[in-house]
Amino acid sequence: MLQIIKKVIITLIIVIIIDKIFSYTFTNYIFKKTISGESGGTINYVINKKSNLDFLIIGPSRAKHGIDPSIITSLGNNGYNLGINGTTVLNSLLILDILVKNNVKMKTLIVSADLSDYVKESKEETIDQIKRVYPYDTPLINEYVSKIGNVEQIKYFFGLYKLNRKILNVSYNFTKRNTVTDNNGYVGLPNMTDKPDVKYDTENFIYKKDSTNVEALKKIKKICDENNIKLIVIFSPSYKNVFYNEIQQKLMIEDFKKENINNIIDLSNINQSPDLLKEENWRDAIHFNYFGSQKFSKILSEEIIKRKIYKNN
Amino acid sequence: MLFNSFDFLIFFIVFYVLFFWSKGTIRQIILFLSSCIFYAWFIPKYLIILFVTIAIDYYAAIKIEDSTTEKERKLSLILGIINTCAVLFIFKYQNFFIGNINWISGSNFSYWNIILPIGLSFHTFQSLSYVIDIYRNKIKAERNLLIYSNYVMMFPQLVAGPIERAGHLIPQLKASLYSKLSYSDFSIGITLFFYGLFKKMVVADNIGPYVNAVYDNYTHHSSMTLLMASMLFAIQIYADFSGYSDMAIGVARVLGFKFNDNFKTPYFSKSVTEFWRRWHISLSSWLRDYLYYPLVLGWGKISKKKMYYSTLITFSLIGLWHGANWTFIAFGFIHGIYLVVEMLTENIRKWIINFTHINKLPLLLHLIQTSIVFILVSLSFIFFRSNTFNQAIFIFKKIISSISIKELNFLDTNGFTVLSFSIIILFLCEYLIFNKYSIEEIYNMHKGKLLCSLITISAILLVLSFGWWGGASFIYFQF
Repeated sequence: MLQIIKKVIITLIIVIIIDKIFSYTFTNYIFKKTISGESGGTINYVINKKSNLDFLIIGPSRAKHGIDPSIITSLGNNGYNLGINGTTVLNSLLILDILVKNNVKMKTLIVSADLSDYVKESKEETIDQIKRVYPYDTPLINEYVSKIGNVEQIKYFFGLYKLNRKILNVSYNFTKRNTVTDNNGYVGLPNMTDKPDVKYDTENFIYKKDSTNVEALKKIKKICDENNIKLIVIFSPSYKNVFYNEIQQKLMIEDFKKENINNIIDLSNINQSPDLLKEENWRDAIHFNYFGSQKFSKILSEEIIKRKIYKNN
Repeated sequence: MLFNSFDFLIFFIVFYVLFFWSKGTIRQIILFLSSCIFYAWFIPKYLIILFVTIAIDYYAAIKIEDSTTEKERKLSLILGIINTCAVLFIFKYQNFFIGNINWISGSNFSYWNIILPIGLSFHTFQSLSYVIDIYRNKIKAERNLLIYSNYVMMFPQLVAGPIERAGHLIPQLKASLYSKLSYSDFSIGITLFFYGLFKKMVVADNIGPYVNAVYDNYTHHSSMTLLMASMLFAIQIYADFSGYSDMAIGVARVLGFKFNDNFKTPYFSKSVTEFWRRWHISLSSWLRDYLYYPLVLGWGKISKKKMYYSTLITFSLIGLWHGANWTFIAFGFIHGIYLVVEMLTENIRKWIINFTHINKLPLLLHLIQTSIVFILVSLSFIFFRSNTFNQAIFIFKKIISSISIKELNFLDTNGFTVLSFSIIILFLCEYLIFNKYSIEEIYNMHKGKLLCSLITISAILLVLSFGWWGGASFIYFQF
C-alpha cells in the first residue's frame, strides 16, 4: 500500500509542478499579450488599447453583431463593442469587474441582455459562463467559483484547467498580435442563406427574479454606481418576434426598475421598429446581418437621444 | 456513477482502501455492496431487476448441472434463457415491438412508459453466456451466490462491458478472495484508466458538440459538413466506447482482475472483417460463439450460402442489440453486407493487388485499405447516429449526391481546432504505441514503468488542458 500511496503522491506532485510552470508561463507571456479572439483576447485589447472609453457595449452575440459603436455617436466617438458569443449577464458582470480592476475607465456601459438569460438556471450554465473568463483571477471570480462548490474549487486549483480548451486558440491569436489593427469590436454578419425558421419555446420563458443573472445585473449596477459609470440596459428584437414574450418582458423590466435600473431601452418587440421587419435585415432569427445591425444601431442611438440618456456624459 | 466524475473518484478511493485491507468473504461482500452503490447511483429501483435475473439464472445453472436427464437440463436452460430474454424484451424491445405492430396492423396499442435500465444489454448477455456455457459443459455452475452475483454485477463492467465470460472471470473472483493487490497491477490499471479518460474527455467529448450540432439540424447543412460529422462520429463513438472499456479494464486491473481487451485499434484494420475482430471484441466474439457458429454448424451441411445468411442474421442482431430501432438494425445489416461482399470478392481483391503491384508499397496499400474501411464504417454510422430511418436516408443521399470541400462548415472554429488536435494526438498514440503494444507489454519493457508513468501524467495534463468538463455521459450507457 505504501508503494501505491508513494506513486500517487509523486504523480500528483509532478502534475502540479508541470501545471504551475506551464500555466504561469503561458498566462504571463502568451495569454496576457494576446489581443484578439474570444478566449480573452478582446478583453486584453480593451485593457491594453482602450483604457479610456466613452462607452462600452457588453453582451452576447446579439450585441457583438448587432450594435456598431461608430453609429452610437450620441454617447461619444470612442466606443467599443465587447460582445462575446454565447455569454449571459453573469459573464458580462465578470468582464466588467476584470476591466474595472485593470483600470479601464468608461463613461457609459451598455449591457445587452435578453429575457432568455433570466429564465433558466443550471449549475453547468453558471460554470460555463465563469470558465469563459478564466484564467483572470479576480476576487469576484473566486467568489463564484466557491459558490459553485468544492469540485470546481479543486479544478480551479489547476492552472491548466483555467486555460482549458483555450491554449490552441490563444496561441494562434498570439502569433497574430502584431497584425491586429485598431477596431471597435463590432463584427457585421453576412446575409442569411436559409429562411430563419428556428422556433424558440418563448411560452416557457418565465422570468425568474432570483436567478443568478438577475443577481449579476444588480452587481453590474453596483459596480457602475461605485465607478461613476452610466448603465444602459438594452433589449434587441428578433425576426417575427420568435424570441419575444411580451408579458414576461414587462414583468422583468418592472423588476429591474425596482432595482433602480432606469435606463432601459426595450426594443425587443420587432413591431416597434418597422424598418427591421423585413427578412433582408437578418442573418438568422435572432441575429442581424450587417445591414440590419446598421439600422438597429441607428435606432438605438436615436432612442438614447430621445430619452436624453446621453446627458451628463 | 460515471467514471469521469468526482463522485467516482471519492467512491473508488474509499472502496479501494476497504478492498485492499479486507480478505475472503468480507472482500466479496465489499465488492458486491460497492457494485450495488455504483449501479444505484443511476436509478436505484433497477437493482431489483438485477437481483431477480441473478437469482433465476443462479438457480437455473445449478439445475442444469444437477439434472440427470437431458430433458431436465434443456428445461432449466430454457428457463434461464427465457428469464434473461424476457427482461431484455420488456425493458428494451417492447415499445419497438408495439410500434411495429401498430404500423403494420394500423392498431393503436399504447406504449409503456419505462426507462431502459442502464447496461441491461451487457449484463443480460453475460448471464446468458453463463447458463449456455454450463449447458455445454464448458464450466461448472457457481454454487456461491455472492461470487456469481459479483460475476454479473462487478461494477467496472456492469454498465457498459466488456462482456466477460464466466469461465474467465469467476476463477479470478475466487482467486481474489485471499490474493494481495500488486503494485504492478495498480500501475498498469491506472495507466489504462487515464488513457481511457483522455479518449473520453479530450477526444470523444470535444467531437460530440460538433456532431450534435450538425445532426440536430441536418437539413441545413451541406453534404461535406454531413460527411465530416459522420466521420467524426465514427471517431467519437470509438473514443467514447473504447475509452470507457479502457477505464473499466483499468479499474478492474487495479483490483487485480484481468479483463479481456475490448478494442484493438480497429481503425487500422485492412478489412471490415478485421475491423470486427478489433471492435467491441467481447460482443462480436459473444455473438460468434452463441449465434453465428450454431447457425453455420447447425441444421445440415456447412455451405457458403449458409455462411452468408448467418453473417447477415448475426450482424442484424448486433445492430438490434445496440438499440430498439430500425436504424440500428440497418447499421448491423450494412456491416453484414460488407462482410458478405468481402467474402465474395476475396479473390478479385487479391488479383487487383497483384496486378497493380501495390503490395510492393505496403505502407501505401495499408493506407488505402484502412481509408476504405474507415469510410465504409463512417457511412454505416450514419444509421447508428440518426434518430430516424428517414433522417439517415436523407443524410446518406445528400452525401453521395455531391461533395464540395468548400462547403465545409466548421461551426465553432476554436472547437474544431481542439477536436482536430485531440484526434491527431489519439491517432499518433494509437499508431505509434497501442497498435503494437498493450499497456501490460509496455510496463514489462525496459524502462516500461517510466513510460507508463509518462502516459499517465500526459493523459492527466491533456485532460486538464483540453478535456470537455461538462460531464457528458457515455454513448453506450443507453444500450
